[in-house]
Amino acid sequence: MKKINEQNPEKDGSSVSKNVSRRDFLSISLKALGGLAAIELGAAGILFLRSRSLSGEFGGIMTIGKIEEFTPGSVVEIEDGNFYLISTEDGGFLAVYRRCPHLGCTVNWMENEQKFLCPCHSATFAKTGDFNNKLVARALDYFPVSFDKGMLKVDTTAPIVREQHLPQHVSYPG
Amino acid sequence: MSLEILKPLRERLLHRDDGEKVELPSRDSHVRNNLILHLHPSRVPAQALRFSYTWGLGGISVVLVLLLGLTGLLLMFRYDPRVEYAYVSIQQLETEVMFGSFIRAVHHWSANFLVIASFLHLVRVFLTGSFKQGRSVNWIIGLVLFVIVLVGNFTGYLLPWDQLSYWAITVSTSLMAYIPLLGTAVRNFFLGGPQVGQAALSNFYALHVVFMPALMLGFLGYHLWKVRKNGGISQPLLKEDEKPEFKATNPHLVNIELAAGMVVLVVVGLYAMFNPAPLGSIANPMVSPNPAKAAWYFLGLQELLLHMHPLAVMTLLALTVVALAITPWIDRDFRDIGIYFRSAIGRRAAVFGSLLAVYLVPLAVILDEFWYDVPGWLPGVHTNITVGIIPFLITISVFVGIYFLLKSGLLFKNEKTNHSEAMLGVFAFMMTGLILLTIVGIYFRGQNMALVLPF
Repeated sequence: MKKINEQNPEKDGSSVSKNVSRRDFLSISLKALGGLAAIELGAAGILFLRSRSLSGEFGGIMTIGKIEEFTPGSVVEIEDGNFYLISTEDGGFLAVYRRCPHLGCTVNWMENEQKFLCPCHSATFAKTGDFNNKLVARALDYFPVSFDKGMLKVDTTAPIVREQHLPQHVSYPG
Repeated sequence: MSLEILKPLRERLLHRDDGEKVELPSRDSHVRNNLILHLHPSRVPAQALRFSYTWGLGGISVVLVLLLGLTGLLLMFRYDPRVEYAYVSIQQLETEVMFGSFIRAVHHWSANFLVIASFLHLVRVFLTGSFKQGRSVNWIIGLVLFVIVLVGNFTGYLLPWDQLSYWAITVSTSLMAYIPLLGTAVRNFFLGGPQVGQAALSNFYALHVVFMPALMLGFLGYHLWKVRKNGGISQPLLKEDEKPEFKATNPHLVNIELAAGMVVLVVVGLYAMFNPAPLGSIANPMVSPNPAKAAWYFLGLQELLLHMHPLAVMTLLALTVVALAITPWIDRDFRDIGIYFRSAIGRRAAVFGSLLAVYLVPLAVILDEFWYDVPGWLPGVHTNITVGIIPFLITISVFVGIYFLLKSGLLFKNEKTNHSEAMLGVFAFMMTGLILLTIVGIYFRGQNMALVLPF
């Protein structure tokens, strides 16, 4: 670089960039290619590792049972599906994810107190999954419920995050 | 006949040392010295040999790391990282394998002692101002090493696949989900799915047995090399016309190190013999134990989580780490390097900070449990503010308040602390506070994480 400049003083300054020496060209392209290779390998590594998390461990759409099997006002734990099936008094259904939105512990249904209790930080949730505690500002997540020929189905592919419980989260047959 | 060829060779070997009457050191001692002199200079300042200066904490940590590597390797031969077999393989280790329970206990307790030893090492380095005078890079490497120790511990925690490990990891990784924007993606990446399962176990196994040890080895080597590069461990500045006294590394330093290493081995070994590593019942995703606690070294953080929004806790943690990392640039006055607490007034600042924590932290914990209820007092205000921003600002203002109180000189009959000593007071408050929160988390939290007495 220096040598060239001495030989061609008029190439000094801004005009140098137009006339890159062979050594500079090789060194720059080596670095650029190296950087590119690192990015490629990094991305490949991340995608390689990520692929597993996308396949998921949840069961997809699960058939839970006949609609009549669930008495209105009851809460049933469906262990395989990771959720509680809540049958509302007016015949609707709501499937809430049993994972506490605070730190991920499994909430328990307290039949006597008619509420969900998280044993980790004693967060409590109403029967609709709505929060009533100071730590969590979010209701329990839920899964969409659908009905097919008198059978009750729950789509457990991904829990739906909600700020608070709204009436439209409850599904009604028919 | 063929032996004739060897004759000149034999001659040369036999009479190699002819004319040289001095006894040469044996070959193995040469190798040994070579190894020692790779790590240490041939002579060390007598000052640096004082045990009550370093307490050997760095060396103890190195011994524990080596012990962890050795026992970890043994455990790998017997452990099976599949969810169906992980717990069973640990059970076999505990009941059937010769010395299985002992090896596992040594690994377990070494890891726990390492957290304590490296934490104390960090505190010692801060108290003696050993991050000063060109040691800033090594201070940061040390902080990275401490994080590696914690992550190494954390990734190992899941492997037994019992209730303790399952829920500790569930709780801790749920914290990641609170990182703004990226949170859930980061957590799902580490767990390999939305909740702890086979993918998470594989991830943690790979991280624990290859990734973290490799990182540890690299950074530890750099850390030790850098100590030598910086001219040995820190010491007080020499007065003018004062000549440092030097001693030979071998035997003076080497003997201390050998003795300390041996004591560590004996203590860990004995402790492991009498206290087998804990193993709960097999992991059950349906049932969270009550209370569900994180690993003990994270219980200070979990305790904070009971009082603050997770995002506030993480911001506080991140700020603390950043503050520690940039300490060498905030506190550049190196005249007090190598002196515990900087000075007499610095010692009083540190004692003040610690005592304040002893008063304030338990008081705050008790008040939050039984009396104050910010969300109740400010109905309609979002919890991000009531349990997030408000407690966060209170905590930060306590830190800042201690600094300016010390700096103002109101406390010690108008003897003002300098910048470095005031920072020491804040540091003492934070570390004592962290220790106290950890103690509360370990011993004073019972069912539903309510405050209980441990006795």
